[in-house]
Amino acid sequence: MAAHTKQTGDGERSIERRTLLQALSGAAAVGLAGCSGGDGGDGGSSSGSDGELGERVSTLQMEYWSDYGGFTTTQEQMAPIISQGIESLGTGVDIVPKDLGTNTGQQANDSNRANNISFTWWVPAADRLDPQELLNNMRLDWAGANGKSNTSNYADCEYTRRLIEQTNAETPEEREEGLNETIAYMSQDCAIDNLCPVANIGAWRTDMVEINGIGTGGLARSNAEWLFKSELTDGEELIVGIDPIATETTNWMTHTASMPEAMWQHMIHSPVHKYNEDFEVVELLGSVDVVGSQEVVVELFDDATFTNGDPVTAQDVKFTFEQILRGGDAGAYPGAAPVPYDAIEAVDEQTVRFTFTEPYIPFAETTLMRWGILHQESFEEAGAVENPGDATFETPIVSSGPLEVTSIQQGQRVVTEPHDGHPEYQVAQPVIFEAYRNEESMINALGAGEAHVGVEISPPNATRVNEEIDNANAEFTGTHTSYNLQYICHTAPCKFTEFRKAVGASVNRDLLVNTAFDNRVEPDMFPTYISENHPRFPPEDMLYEHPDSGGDVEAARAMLEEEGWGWDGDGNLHYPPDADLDPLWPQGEVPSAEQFPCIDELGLDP
Amino acid sequence: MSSLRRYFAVRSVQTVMMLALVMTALFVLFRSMPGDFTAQMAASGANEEALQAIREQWHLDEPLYMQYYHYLANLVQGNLGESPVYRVDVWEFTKLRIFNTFILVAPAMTFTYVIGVAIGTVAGSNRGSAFERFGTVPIIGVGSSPAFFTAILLVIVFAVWLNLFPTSGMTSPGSTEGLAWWEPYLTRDFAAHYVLPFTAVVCRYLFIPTLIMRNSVVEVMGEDFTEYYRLTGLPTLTRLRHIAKHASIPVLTIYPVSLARALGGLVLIETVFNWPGIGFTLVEAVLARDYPTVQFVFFVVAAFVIVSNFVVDLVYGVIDPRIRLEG
Repeated sequence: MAAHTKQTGDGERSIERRTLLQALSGAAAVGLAGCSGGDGGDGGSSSGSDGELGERVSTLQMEYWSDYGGFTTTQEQMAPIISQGIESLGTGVDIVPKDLGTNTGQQANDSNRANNISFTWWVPAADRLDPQELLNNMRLDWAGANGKSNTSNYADCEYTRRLIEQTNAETPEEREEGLNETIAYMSQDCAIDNLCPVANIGAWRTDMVEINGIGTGGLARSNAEWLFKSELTDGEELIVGIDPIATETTNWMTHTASMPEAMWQHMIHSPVHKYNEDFEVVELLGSVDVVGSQEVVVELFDDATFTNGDPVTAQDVKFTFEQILRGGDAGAYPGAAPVPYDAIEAVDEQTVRFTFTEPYIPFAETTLMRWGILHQESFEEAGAVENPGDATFETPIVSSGPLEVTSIQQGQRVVTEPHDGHPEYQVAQPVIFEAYRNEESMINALGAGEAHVGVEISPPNATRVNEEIDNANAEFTGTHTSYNLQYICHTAPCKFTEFRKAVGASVNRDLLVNTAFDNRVEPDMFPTYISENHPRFPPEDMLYEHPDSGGDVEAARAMLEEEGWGWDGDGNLHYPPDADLDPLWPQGEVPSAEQFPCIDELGLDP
Repeated sequence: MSSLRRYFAVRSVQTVMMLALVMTALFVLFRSMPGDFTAQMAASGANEEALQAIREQWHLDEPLYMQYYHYLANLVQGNLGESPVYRVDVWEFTKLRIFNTFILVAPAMTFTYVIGVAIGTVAGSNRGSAFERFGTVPIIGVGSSPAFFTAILLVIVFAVWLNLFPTSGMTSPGSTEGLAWWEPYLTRDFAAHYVLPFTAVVCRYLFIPTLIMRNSVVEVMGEDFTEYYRLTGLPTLTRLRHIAKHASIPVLTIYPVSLARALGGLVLIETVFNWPGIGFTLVEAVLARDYPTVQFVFFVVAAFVIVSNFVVDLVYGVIDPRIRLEG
């Protein structure tokens, strides 16, 4: 299949669609006949290392998120291609649409043993430019029926040990090394399989707005730079299409969705520092000094002010992170991840010192980059200190970011004005975040000039923008997160590493990116949690790499055969005769310390 | 007690009982579903102490009958609970959306029924005519098309191609700054945004009153008394008016049901036109397991049907005295 990928004159990878489809249909037919690859090519005889077969692998269930707008459309384009690859191994696949809440809830509570693979993707949120949060999703103590979100139920002592070690590294260099080793371990184990990057697709009216700041981050909510650096050439207010959920409440930290967080945390409020469009760290409200593994000092700028003119003080910074703790403890702020604080001290008006009970290098690029600095007085007046979940803020909302919210119409729009006193950004015009309930409405509004910019557009609609709307352009950017296959690792067959690798090898990634993204992104060949565009992507030689971006069914079958798997006369895949098919723990329970000794050694609490 | 009073009393008791039944059924139904919203909070990282506090606050750790008692007690005090997703009072969260849907649906459906009754009357009273045979075909065709198809077609033709109306939304960005909550509904900008969704609702539902009225008129035309009207030499329009009155009972019956269905079922039209109503919110709430919101909106829709039927029953009594005597 690799032969179908060729280099064009301008150096871009392209695909001969007809040839590919012919090859795919041929491969499928061969696969269905039970004679694709391996020793099973005699059209009916059983195969396997010693001719004995274990239990037949039953039809797999692959779920995908059915309620995510354009992303769901993309997943629905990709799912049949994935299943075709898997079926060529000799097992059926049921593609099951499931809403995000049910899918993640069932995995978190270990209540759906029918699901073998979750075909998912990760929001390319800005704070995921440090992969700590993503990697945490695979912790052993988050696996099982405990409500915690180890979405693959991947329970592995070595992985968890490496994860904790890099978290507690003494120096940034040591952490970097540990991070690479953690990702490399997971990659070699193929616990989660990347397919291709999530494409940020944004569109704008070229005759009405001059877009700057797209960079590597793309025209996306995760990259706020374009919003700050773009200028209207026609009109007075920049109108940006967003998901209605971002307009529903002023108490944004109570949201679980990432859209409100992107708008409120990085556009309306500013963190102390953050990544810019080229993934370089920009200091917004102050400088950050990682003094050691257990201490970070923030020095605020003299000219850092809130929208009402109040200076941003050390006390405001201290209050912000204490408020996040309060909200997290009250169950009101779902995004409040635990941080091993020893103390948060306002040393003077402009200096804040964070100390930790254990080494915690990721703090500066995760927690500190994620949360916008809050105005203490406004929060106290809104009652957010006593009851973080029930606060309501009156407009204009005092904030530390480049935009000030002047009014909100729930479910419709958020109206903002530029914050003149922001130390880093001077936004050229007022910005209105207009809620659109579906992509079609947003594209129509863009076409009619009622909106200037739209983000999170699906590939088919991007094509429509480029081909049908004069004076509009849609831009693709491969992001730092990926579409991936999350193997449910505690039950057969995905509990077997060779099976996971075989599935990964069987998928025709070239066809995926061709079908879903018109070859605008490159396939991801390394099973990691993050895409190859991620600034923290480890050196490739540390990682496991799939054999062929076009899908290599022969190699996939060989991997299985080598471990004793086989095929019957009808081409159906069977486990090795001696395979232990029991799940790693009983349904409804959690991994036990007897089976996973590191639970006690590392002090984990599954 | 007069028959009218007795009829009114019986129907009032039935209505109250029906409302109580629906309320109870909704409560039990949602509480019977696996898990509660604290499970989602746990998945989001909330600690056990916080979850326990929330369970106590919302009485989730008590038996179902006690939860029902608290629910009723809160309901009596006007406390509908809080959306666990948006962390706002359910009433505060839904009231404007319900109003937005109502202000679209009620006039559009009423207009639909007025037009539908007129078309159905003309069609039914002219049996065998070309109008009776073919006049309803386009109405049925549009009505049986998917709602989103009709809506998208309207947007493409009248907003994108002809540029006569805005593509979506209820008001233009920046047009409602500084206005009281009700003032945007009185603006020309709102009217411009209103036309296409209104038309979509009319197109979607027009076939219902048209067909019912046509059939009903045909039936009534076969009654002896209509022949009597004709023999007495009543002018055609007057005769039709009498016939329409008799034939309108089935239409009246279906009107509140259609209205309630449209209230909760305009998801596609609201989505295409980006209308900030309750239909889209309901879908989002179901997906997000926002049970207090879902429960309340379902109750509003159910209550609307029940109360409307009650009102219609009273109107029946006025239109056809036989009903109250038999009732």
